[in-house]
Amino acid sequence: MNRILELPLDFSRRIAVGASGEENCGLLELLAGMLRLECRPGEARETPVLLDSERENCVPVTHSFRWTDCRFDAGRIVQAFREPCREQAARGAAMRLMLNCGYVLELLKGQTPFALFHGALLETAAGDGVLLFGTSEVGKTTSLNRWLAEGGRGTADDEVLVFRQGEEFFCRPLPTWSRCMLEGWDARQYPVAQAVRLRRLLWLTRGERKQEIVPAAPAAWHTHLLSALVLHLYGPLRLFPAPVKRQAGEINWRFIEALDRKFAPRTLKAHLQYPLHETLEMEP
Amino acid sequence: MKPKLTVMFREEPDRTGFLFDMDSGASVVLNRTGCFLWKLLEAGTPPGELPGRLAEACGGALPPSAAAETEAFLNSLRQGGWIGE
Repeated sequence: MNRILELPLDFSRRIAVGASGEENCGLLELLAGMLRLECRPGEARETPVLLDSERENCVPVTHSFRWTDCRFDAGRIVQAFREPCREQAARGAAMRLMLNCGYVLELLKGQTPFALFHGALLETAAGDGVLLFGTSEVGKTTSLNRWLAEGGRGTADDEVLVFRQGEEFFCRPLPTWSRCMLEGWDARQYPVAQAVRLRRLLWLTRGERKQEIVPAAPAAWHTHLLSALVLHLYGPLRLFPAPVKRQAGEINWRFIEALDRKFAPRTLKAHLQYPLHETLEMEP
Repeated sequence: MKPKLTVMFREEPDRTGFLFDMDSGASVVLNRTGCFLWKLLEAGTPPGELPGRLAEACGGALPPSAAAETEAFLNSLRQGGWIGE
């Protein structure tokens, strides 16, 4: 049994994610439902990512979302599970790996009008996007919740697929894995079909006395930007040797250079006592 | 003494910069002096020559503590895993 999911990468290309075996195909179907994408029968051996439940000498995904034995095999990534991934956290880890492995293999082709961000995507009334990135625990999810409480729209506060089309950048929401793993995902949806044009890109920090958007130091801006771009890659990149990890960093850096031509380094110093809409809807 | 293979270095127009390790996700921001020293290390300059090269770049006028501070910088790079023997 083989299944294939094609995640829209930009307006013309897709990431192919494949699975074989009943359990893994079930996970792929679940992921397709969350993304509102079609998962169809296919020849998984020809897709770049293969999750195979029948390989030998493998170690199952654990509950801490880590895996201990992976193999890189001639352009394909094989992550194998000795036991079916029935537990919620393990299933979530497997789904995340499926999607991110597909992304990494596409990334390593080197043609990079796209990036996988760790951040929160807020959608404005005009249908544009504001993408917030920053260190863990700084308040990305809190910012999304504040935005929603103020009547705004948005679904993503973990993974966001960003791609470039000419001089514009567009975003597609991807699942919030931690929430899916902890709270379940039966009713959760992250519709990726409709891309949102990126209007603002902001490094999220905390304001001490007020909420404002101010220029950021370039080195700090770029450090956090690169962190946001590679956070979801560490799992798949563990399969690769050091030069390939470095190559992935360099490819992401080229994407940052493209972002630099569109977005000036700015930090949102967020403060809970001030409405986000007032600050973010102002002209950049 | 060489930079770790997975470490990326970028210098900004203001001559500050940063190191980013693609292996661990660790990062550190460097001031102008840090960037200057890192570039010398990348070029294979022996650590013992760093204070002299720094003095050259500053026209020979370095405070007495410069050598110790350079050593402290190298130690922090070693301890952070940014460079290896």
